[in-house]
Amino acid sequence: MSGLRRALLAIVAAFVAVPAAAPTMAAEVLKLAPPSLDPKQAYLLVRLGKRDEKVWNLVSFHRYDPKAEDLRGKGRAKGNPVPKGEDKAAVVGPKSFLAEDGDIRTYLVAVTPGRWVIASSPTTSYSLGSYQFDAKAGEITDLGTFYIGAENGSSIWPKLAGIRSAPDIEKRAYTVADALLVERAGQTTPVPAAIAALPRRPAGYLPAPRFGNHSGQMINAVLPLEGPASP
Amino acid sequence: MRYALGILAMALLAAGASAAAEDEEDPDNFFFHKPGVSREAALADWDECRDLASAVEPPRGPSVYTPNVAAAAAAGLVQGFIRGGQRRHMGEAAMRKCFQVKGYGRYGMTKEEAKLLYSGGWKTMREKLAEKAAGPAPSQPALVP
Repeated sequence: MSGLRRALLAIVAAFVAVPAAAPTMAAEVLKLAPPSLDPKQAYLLVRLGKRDEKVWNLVSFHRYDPKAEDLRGKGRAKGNPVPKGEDKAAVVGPKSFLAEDGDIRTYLVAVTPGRWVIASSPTTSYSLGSYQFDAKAGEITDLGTFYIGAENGSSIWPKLAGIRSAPDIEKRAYTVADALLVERAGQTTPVPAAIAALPRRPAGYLPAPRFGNHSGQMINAVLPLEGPASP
Repeated sequence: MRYALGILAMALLAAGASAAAEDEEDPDNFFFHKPGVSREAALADWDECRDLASAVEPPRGPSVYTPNVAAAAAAGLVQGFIRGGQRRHMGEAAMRKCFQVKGYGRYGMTKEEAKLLYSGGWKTMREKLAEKAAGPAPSQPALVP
């Protein structure tokens, strides 16, 4: 095989195999439950459903400027950057989980306290409408359960499997956006025993009407919240 | 660069966009309409959707090493073509998703109508697109978003 042909084949193969880039890891996803909480840190508790039969998901969060309606330090919020030493973003999944129950993994992430927003899935930025919340120091903010799946019928979750795109969009996997459904935490939402006694409260979600597509991904809006009402 | 991408996204909706032409089921040309939307709101929606859709970037493949200079140049060229096509398709899909989320319907139009609608600079074009979006309800059924 000539060098030219080998190079061309390698390029085509690369485009088929490589997923979209995710934001840089910043916050600390805890591998073990802490015996106590650091009063200077906030903690996010996230349950994340599988993407499909074989692939585990990931979701990213970003610090949010509710007045500028953008991610801090970017676009309309360029003048409000996150100070050095604080967490700008947190990528949760697919590894370092505290518990795994069937098709759902539970994660605990230590982050800088402040206002955060649900930012993106592996392929999609939720620039068209998401949810923001405050992560308070010295307690666990329970974000509930996240279900993410491509809008092409491939999701294993019945509520997402029925969401389809136009045939010409589904034909090219890289043009299909991800649907994201958040089920708020309630009395019956399972919590790993190792952290059950630690201070914890459900996230007080508020709509985040918009933010820029700074990750260069496909775009979508998070589906309306489900589960018990926010406190 | 960003401006060029925005124009590219607009061009996707214009007559002769090769992405749509490849899909027999989907019409080559279309426009967006929302009942009851004001011209000002439609202008703002167009600006926002254009901004978000023009930011999409196809996933990057790893760089390919080859000691052959000609092969490396050809590889770069092919990589550029592939990424260009992917960006076009992603830009169109993102634009359609944006208008879908904002409650607009998508409607087919003739090549001649599209040439008139998607012509001129962005300032001229956005005025025409907003008028079309806020104008009389289309008589044809809406397309799948």
